[in-house]
Amino acid sequence: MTSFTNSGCEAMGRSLEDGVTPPPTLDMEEMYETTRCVQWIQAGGYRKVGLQFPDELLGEAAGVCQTITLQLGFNVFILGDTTYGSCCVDEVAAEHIGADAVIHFGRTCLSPSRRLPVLYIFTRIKVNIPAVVSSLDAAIEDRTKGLILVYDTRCHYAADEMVENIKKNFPYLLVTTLLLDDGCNSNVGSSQQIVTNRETSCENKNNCHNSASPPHSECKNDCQNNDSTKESAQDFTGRLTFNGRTVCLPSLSNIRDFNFIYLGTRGPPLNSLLMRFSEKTFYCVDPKDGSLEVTSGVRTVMSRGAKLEKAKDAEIIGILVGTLGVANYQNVISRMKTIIKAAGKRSYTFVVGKPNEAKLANISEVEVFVYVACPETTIIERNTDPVLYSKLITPWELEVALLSGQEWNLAFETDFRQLLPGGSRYIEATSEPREEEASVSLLTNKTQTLGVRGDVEVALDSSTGAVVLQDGRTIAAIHVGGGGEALKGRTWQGLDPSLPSVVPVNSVIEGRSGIASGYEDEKFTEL
Amino acid sequence: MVNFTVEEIRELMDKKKNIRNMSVIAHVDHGKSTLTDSLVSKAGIIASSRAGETRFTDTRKDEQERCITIKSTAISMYFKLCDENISLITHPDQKEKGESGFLINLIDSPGHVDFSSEVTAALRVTDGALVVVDCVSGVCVQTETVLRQAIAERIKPVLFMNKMDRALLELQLEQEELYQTFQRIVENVNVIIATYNDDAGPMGEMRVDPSKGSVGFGSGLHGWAFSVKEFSDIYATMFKVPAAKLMNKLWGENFFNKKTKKWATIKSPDNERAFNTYILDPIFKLFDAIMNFKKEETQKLLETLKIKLTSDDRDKEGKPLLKVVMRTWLPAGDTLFHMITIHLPSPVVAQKYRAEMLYEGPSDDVCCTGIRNCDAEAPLMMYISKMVPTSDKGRFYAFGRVFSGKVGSGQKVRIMGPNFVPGKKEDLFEKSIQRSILMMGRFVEAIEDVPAGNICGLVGVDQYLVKTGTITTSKDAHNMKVMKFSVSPVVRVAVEPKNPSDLPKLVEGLKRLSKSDPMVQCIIEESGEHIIAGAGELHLEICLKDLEEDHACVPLKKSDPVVSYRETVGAESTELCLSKSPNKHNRLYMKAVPMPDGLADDIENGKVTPRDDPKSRKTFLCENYQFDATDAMKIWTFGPESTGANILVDVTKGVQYLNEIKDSCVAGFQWATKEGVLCDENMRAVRFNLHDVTLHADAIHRGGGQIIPTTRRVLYASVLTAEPRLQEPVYLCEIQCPEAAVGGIYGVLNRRRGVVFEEQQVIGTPMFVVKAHLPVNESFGFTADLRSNTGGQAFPQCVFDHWQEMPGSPMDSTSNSKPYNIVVETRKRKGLKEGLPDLSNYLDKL
Repeated sequence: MTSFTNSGCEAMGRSLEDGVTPPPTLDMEEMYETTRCVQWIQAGGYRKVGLQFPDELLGEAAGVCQTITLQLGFNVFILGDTTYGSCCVDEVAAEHIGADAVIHFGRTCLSPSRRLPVLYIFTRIKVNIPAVVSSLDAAIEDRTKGLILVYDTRCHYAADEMVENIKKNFPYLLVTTLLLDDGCNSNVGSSQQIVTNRETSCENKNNCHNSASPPHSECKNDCQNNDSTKESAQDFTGRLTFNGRTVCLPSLSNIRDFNFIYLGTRGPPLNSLLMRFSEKTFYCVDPKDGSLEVTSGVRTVMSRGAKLEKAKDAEIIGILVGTLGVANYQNVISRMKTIIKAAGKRSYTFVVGKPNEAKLANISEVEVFVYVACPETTIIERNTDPVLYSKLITPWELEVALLSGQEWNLAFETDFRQLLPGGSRYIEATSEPREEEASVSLLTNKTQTLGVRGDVEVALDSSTGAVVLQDGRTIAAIHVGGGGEALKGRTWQGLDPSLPSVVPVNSVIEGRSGIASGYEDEKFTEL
Repeated sequence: MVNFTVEEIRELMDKKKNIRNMSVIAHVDHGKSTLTDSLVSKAGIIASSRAGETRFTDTRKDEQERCITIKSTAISMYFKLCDENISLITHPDQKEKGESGFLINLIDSPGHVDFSSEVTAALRVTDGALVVVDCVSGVCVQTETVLRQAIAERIKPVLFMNKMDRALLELQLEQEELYQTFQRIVENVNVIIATYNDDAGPMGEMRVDPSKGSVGFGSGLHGWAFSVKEFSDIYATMFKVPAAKLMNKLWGENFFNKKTKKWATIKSPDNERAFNTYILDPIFKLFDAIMNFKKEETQKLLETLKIKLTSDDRDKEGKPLLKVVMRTWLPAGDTLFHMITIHLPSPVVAQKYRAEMLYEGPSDDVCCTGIRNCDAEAPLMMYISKMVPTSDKGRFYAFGRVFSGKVGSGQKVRIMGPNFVPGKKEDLFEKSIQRSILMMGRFVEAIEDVPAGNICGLVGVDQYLVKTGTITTSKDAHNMKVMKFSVSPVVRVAVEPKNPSDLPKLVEGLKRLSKSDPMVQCIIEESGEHIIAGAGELHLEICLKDLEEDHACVPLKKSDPVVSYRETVGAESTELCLSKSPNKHNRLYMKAVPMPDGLADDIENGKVTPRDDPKSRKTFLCENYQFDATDAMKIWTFGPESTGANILVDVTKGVQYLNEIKDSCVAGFQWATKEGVLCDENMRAVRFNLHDVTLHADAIHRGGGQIIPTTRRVLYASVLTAEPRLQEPVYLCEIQCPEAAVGGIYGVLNRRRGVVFEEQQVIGTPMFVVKAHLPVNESFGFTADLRSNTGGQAFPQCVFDHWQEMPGSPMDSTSNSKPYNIVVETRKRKGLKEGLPDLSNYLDKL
């Protein structure tokens, strides 16, 4: 898709994410765990396997592929150019080759996918444990305050060792564990399997917990594994799940009493977390050199206030599909449609691959887009792409704006699955049109309306699709509201074949030739 | 006790010739609210002894504490006029036969310039204005502004000279001096009226004339007032001469020789000006006698003047006695009432000439005819001019005037906002009115229905209107014209809740604040900042207080005030700028040129608009701004918001498919002019010329996605190559002070980049008026600074005047120029990429 809209130099010039090129100390086995990949493929009996690499690791893809192929004895495939975020499993690309399994390399958002079995190979970034521990020691004075450790998936291999070291100074440390789904089940609640920290393996095979057993006991068991201190070994009641991770809170405590330690580099995973727990202080430690930054997401969450108004103002809302892999994305899209319709607005669904300014400008009638994507790609930072930032909102923000009952708060919900039945933010959304109400827009200072006006006659019976006759002659009013109205407002309506050509065609003359970046009759000036 | 009932008022509402809708307007501190008290006490709503102190129409706590009116307040009153006075009303449409009751709908307005939007809203719904002038300070800048606005709205003025007690007691003026002062004020007012009114126009002559009784004199604080008419009445019975004849003699160059009993028009040693002899002399004598405790003389005077006091009052001495004597002799309420009923127009008269000014639609349709005839049977046409907060938090009374038809409880109406266009659904609601109410200062009274010509409030329509709008029952009705304010919201503060989780309450509060004030703008910026924009510091202070205490009810953090800037260009682009579309298949070539001086103002003032007939606009532009005739016909659009003071002109020659990309170019232009390249501020006074375009032959490759971002880039490149400049808003600042303080004023102004352009003494007073231009950015804390430097003697009035280019280039980082610092700071505040914009991001090469 990108090749149609730009010359590709942008992609070539794009600098890679910092710190992802493997350090020379880690060899391929360590980094890509090829042996385990092979074992997994053989155990599953898969025949066609796709290897998904993020852009920055594509350079090594061939080597990994070769190693695995040699050990397996049959070919595996590299999936290049991920359609959406490289953190999500690209099932669409995998289906192009008819793959029956995918191995995902690199940083992942751990969003459960819905169709194919997936093996996550987290890859590794070097963790300088002494540096991390000492900078945390220096930064955090209150040792009695609860802390929750979250780490970049690429630091997973070093998690145990790190926890042990940090625990020495911070007895009230809780550690998040990664949730990995079995890849085929789309049910959010029951399919999740908890992988303990002790296990560096993230395979799905040895599900020791009975999924039917109550989460309570599961949790207890799990946390005892991680925590040896007395306090946390007590009763557990609260299991907190977010961004593919879970943590057990002691019974008498509340998330309010905790701060976060994040081990990893700045980037989408951290942004997503910062917004989800925006009231918390985050101590972000860079695993390489232990440099520490204290931050919080309150500003970011507050500064998105204009988006709610934008959604309320918009007549037409686009639903921009940002994933075709994350489980339940279709349910969310249909939920968004229902909500938008009940609020008296029009929705159109778009699938454009990775969104960019030019693509969205082609549909400039759409004032705002709900971006249905994984928790990490759904947030676009203002300073990286101001145009996309101003046009995209998250499904949660749309609900806050349009659905009465969905309250705004500082815990920014980045995960759209929480909005669905069973999720923590689920609210019933009826297709019953909302009663019309009006207020002032704080963007334009004009009136903004929500809900459906009582007096509007429906020209087309939407349920049966039957055409209804109006005043005996009009069959349907196509240009009422929505895109039709926007189209009608344009001065250019297309060529009118009934008009005679203004310029008479006399003879054919030779036109320009060459390519667009510089035609042959133009003098080239080097940039 | 209130000496009328709602039923009586309702009955009078139908007798529309006996209605007077009027506003009280003046410079700040000239005594509007105090004077209004006299009428309120005449109506029995407050005790007459408390009139002048109560300030009944200052309904808010802070208004009472600060002694300054902030919101305009309406009150309806009922009075009976005696038969002799009824006979003075000669116009047949000014009185109903056989009805002596009159309904006065009065609106008291604020005088401080920061609240002048309230005045505008008040003027719209009234037909007459009582212009109050402090006879000590004379005609001030705000007097002129409000008078000018009144005339533009076709509001008929009468004049009242207030604070006569000060002239007598403090300044100790002689009779002739006082006459000259009055004479000068009348002249000044008439000069202003003559400047803005056309005597040959539909309203005819509007001059105020003491000898006709349209000028009052007195003291609102002491509750007494008179016009020449009052004295003529007294002397008419005494001398047995017709009052009308006397009125002409009692003002102007009419001198009476007591010995010869002869009138003359020239002053000679043995004659006296009639005004002095017959009007001022008794007042002076009374003042002298009472204030100097000459008891016998006082007693004698009281008898001659037939002033009867109660036994309690008789024991008073000095000022209290003076007050009660004057109030009994010349009650201000009566004088004002006579002036209002006799000289101000009834809705029947006023709507005849106001209809065409009020209605946007054709002047011969049923709605306009209804307005013109003030016809209660015609379709309803009501203009809502402002929202008045109710005791129910977050809800408002929609306050306005019924110009035609009838409005009542339960009625189903069409509510049309300012963006409504006939035939479209935008800004249109069909709802039922819950209740109609009568505004009585701080109280309201429910009323069944209200016919044409009256002022009232509505319950249940507030949420469908932002600030103003039209309410009608006619499906074909157009909007009533929106009001034009004399002030602009140029000062801004950013607010945020102290507790971040209170954000939704702040947003809700801002929405309410936005409704409650006719002028304030509440905006959420792209950066997430919550901005409140107002006319000046005082306006913002009040808005912030209301927001925190009444609307949001959460503690807030406020930023320092900042001003908004405009981005413009200083010269033509040095090169023809090219930008390529993302796919490199399309190219746009443009240049930016500064607009000729004055054109931007003309666009902002509505002299040149996108809705003009292109041919007449071409003629105007060619004649006044030397536009090329073909260019003037090819103005694609104005911007930002399709109305702003920037234009996009197509100067290409024979480009294929050009009309096809016009919409995309216009969209890009709107966007770019709204968010300028320097620091995301609006652009102003830039003309962009589209010189050439190369387009891909295939329509799919020249769609909006390719053209809109490219237009924006090429516009930015054009600005950056055309000596980009910043414009800052500048106040016109008028300062009144005694001569000794003038030096201090200059010092303060100099420190704040202020430029004095006029300094003159107010004739007949020791006061000086200094007029200066002061950048709004430098005006924060100006009032306080001025007070401390002049010992509290100087009082400034600042009103936005114009945009001024700032010297120095904002792109020049080396010399640490002011514009550069502003750009850097603004970018930082808005969370934009730091540092200056880079031309190479926007300009492409072949």
